[in-house]
Amino acid sequence: MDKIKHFIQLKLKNPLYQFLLFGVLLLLLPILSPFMSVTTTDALAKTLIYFIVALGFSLLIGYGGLASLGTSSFIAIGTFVAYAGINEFELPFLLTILLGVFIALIFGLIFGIVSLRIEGMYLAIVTLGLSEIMIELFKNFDRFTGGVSGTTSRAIEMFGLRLTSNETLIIVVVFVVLAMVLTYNLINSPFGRALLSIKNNDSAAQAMGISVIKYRLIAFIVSTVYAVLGGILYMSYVKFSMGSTWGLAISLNILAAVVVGGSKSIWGVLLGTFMIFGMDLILFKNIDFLSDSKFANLSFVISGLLIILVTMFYPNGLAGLINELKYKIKRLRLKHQAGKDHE
Amino acid sequence: MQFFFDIFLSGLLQSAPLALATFAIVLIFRTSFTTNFAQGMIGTVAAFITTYIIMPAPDIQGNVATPSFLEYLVAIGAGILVSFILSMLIDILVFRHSRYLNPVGKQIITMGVVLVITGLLPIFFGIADRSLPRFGANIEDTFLGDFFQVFISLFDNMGINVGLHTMISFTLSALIITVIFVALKYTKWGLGVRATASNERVASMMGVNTKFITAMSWAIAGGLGAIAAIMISSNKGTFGNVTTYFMISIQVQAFFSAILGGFSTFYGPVIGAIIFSVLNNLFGVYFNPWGTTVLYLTIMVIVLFKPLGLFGKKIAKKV
Repeated sequence: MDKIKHFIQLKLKNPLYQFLLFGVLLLLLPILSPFMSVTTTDALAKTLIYFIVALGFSLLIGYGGLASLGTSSFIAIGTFVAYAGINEFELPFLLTILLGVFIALIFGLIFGIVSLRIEGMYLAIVTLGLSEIMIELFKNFDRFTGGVSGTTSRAIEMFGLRLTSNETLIIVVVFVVLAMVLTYNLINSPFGRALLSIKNNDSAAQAMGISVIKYRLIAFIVSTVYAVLGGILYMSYVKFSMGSTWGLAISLNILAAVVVGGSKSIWGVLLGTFMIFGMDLILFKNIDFLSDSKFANLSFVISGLLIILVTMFYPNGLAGLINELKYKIKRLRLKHQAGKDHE
Repeated sequence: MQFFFDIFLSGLLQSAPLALATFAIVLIFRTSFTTNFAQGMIGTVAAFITTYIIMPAPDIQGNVATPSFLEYLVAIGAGILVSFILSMLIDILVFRHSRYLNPVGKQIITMGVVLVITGLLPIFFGIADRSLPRFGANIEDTFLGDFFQVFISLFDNMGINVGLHTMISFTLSALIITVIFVALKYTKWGLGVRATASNERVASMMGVNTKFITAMSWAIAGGLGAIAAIMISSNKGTFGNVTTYFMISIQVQAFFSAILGGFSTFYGPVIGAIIFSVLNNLFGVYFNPWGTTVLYLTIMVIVLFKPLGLFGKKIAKKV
């Protein structure tokens, strides 16, 4: 028995197994969903989808040191690709995802090259411009986007079956685990280390032979792919998307989630996403005093304040704060032990 | 030829608020070394304050208020003052303590400010649509109205139709920008700004009060943003022209103008804003409804070949 316990403990030290365990726990969600209200399940599913997007964004901001404001337009592109793939072209779901990845690559490449050619700081401006362009595009390409009234998609089909929302939730969970594993591996690959060195000092990195623009571009493209994937999953779960809802606020909230949680830690990003997106859905919607429509954006105030405070005082976010506390407790304990030994 | 002349002149006249907004962004960029995304939101606050003073409870029927000239002037002044103070407070409370953060970190802070203001606006002003009337409507019977009427009839003779609002905005903006450029060149504040812009640490060692300079620059940028926001929102003169997000597209335009002109000089972005406005008019005719989109893409292509903008100077970076 002890042996098994020891074995499990050993395995759980490996983050990859932690991610798998987390995925298994999430699979309880569809099972438990009959006992929860529909809004809570929906909120959790949406938060998980935003978590995938935030993971891509954490690569960009935590490792690339770049901020982008085009996240929500990339999610929107994902939703409309999903709509076109599922309803117009009647592609299989996996092929739709491939199509989405392909489109994400093209968009990421074009906008990445332009903005990173100037300086890293300008990425936010150019992507903000991109989101303005996209809103215009969504309005005018109404075959795929439904113009101002939005589009409603059919449920996705897989293995010849039409999936219910609970079954779609399982797919979302699978992608969450895949995204976590992929992010972990990317961070610990030469790519991740090169990015980190660029973030710390781009001149020094360049002197070591690392191509700054190449790695930043790859980071931007990867984050674009994550966002488009998130969009496709959003469309397959929520089944409705409207161009004008994907504005600046969602991009900023995803930024808040990553910054507040801790942009260098996968668990930190998870914590941040649940804080920022969960706060609104779970907390405020249940307090009567705050249900007045003028308080609808109250969560923005809190996430904005959190962004400012965390960036000013705790650049590593909540995850960094937790690590610091752990370290302090450990040191206290060691001190205590040393005192005892001395006696 | 006449057609291009018309387009150019009306673009020039319409560029005034954009030039103000662009200049405000560059002023903060030069003194705080970051692009301020909250610029538009700070201006939006001013527009909301102004509507609130003119008409505390928004009209359900959708009528635009008709204040007298003096009332309107006081309301606008109050709006600008609030933005001025708000912007200065942001610098004193937040940016003064994060001076040594990297530029992207500062950008993220300004994005946080955007979120805070977005959330606070409906709490203070409610969710109903608000609106500002045009400048022209209540000034016609004062001496200023006659003064501007002279210019308008001058343009009329050239075959260009200019509204009173555009004329006032242009004159006011030109005046403000001239005053600021003169101040930059000849006053102590201007010298301080230029010193801070070239090297903040050295400037503070040489006895420049960089804290005061930065705070004042933020405050002035806030005031300029407020004037731009009020001019732009009231330009339509229709009901519901003041909303939480109305400045975002203007801000994007201002950013692209600044990129086009180059962030490294003060005059470059202002010229960039004028070029942007003129091209926006021109492309609006030829690429309707994709005018602005084509313009953004054009600027991106230009930047691909001239990364520092049209008037940018290369600044050597020491390692």
